[in-house]
Amino acid sequence: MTVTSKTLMTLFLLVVALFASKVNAEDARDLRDLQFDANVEEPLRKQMLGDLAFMGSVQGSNSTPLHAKIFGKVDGPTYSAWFASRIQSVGKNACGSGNAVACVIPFFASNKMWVTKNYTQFDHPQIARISVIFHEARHSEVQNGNWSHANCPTPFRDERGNDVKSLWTGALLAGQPACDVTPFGSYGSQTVLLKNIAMNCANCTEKVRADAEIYGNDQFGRIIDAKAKAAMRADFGMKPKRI
Amino acid sequence: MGSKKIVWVMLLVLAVGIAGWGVLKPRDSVPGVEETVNIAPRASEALALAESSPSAGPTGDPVKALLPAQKLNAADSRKISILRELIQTRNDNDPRMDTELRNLSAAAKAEIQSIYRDTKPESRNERGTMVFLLGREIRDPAELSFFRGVLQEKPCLSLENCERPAGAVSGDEEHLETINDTTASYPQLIALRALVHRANELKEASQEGSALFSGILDTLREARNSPNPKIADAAQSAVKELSNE
Repeated sequence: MTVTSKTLMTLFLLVVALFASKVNAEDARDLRDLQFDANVEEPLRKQMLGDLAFMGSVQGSNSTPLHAKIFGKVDGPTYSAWFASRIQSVGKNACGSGNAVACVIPFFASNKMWVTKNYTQFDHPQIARISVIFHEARHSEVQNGNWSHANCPTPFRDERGNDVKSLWTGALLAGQPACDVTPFGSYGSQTVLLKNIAMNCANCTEKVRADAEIYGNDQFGRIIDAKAKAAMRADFGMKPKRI
Repeated sequence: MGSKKIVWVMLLVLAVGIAGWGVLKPRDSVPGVEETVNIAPRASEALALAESSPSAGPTGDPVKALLPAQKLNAADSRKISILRELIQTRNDNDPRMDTELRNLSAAAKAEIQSIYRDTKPESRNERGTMVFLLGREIRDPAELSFFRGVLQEKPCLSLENCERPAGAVSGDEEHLETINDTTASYPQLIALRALVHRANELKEASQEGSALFSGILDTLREARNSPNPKIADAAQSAVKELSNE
């Protein structure tokens, strides 16, 4: 062999080795490998792992087409793999808001999730808490532009014609980057997740399914594109909205 | 010539490998991915959590312990003990929620109402859990007073302190707080859901003339004047759905 072919052979072996290690790393990624920063207190770590353990135990009877496309089946191991392939470490941060529960800061570290003290201090139902970390995990997808949010329309009114606003701050959501135009974004996928837990989780308690329905309906309100909304209604088996 | 062939083969394998890597990379391209991830050993940790906040005593809410207190028998005491444990562990998916905490006696219901009254308002899930348990077993119009009280509670202004409004937030922050509004009204949303569900059950059983159905409808009508605008709106929709008013 010439020097060139020897060099190419070396390069070839190097790339093959790199590829193999990458594939192995994807396969081996596991929630047990989730790394927690030292400043994540034990109660917070336990709460998050407890929540992820619950999702890892889910058994589904069915799943909607959108759910199948985004997550796969309604199935614990599938949820665990989905989450673990996006989030590898967890740190503690205020997420720039006194009221936030969790966030992903893509420019800082796309596969890292930050949780705030509110993860344990605010008394959210368990499935609501979980839906937030799955929402944030969706933001880790660099290859999908981190599923940036769309600005809510101005005016932004609910189905009863009322301005959508924060109950406690009174802040209007109109014009704010707190909406989605696709079922595949963070709000969309969060809604799809919640609705599927409500409809298809075979081993969830009645309370978890009721909560998933309530919070799913709430998140659905953040989808502002008519076609996306119609697709999601059809996916969930909801009646089309009368115009 | 032989080494050139080897080089071409290597380049071909490299190209295929890189292309394959690219195909695997987009995460949504493999729907139904079923890598086996076993985190079962962690499941027990959920039960080890003991982070719930202590009760803060009476809150001045409209809810009183409206069913007369009665002596709990052993079965009732066991149920109350399980309820306290479930609340402490913060595991909403404990199956005992559906297996043990059913068929509540009047004494157990009165005790749960009393616990609700003594639970601090910021414990939204704790309160909502109790409303849920009572709400799926509404049998007597006398039980509706409790729900009337829940629906007339003043809005919880912040999950940190229901009495104090949260600070104003920017647009970027709004997206992080999406579930907070719902949790702030969670006990009330659960109460509404329970009442509508029970009313629909009665309708399906052609019991629209029953005292319980009328009582539920009256409770919902009153809730249209809830100090919580989100609940007032939802009650309006519920009344419309049930009676076309």
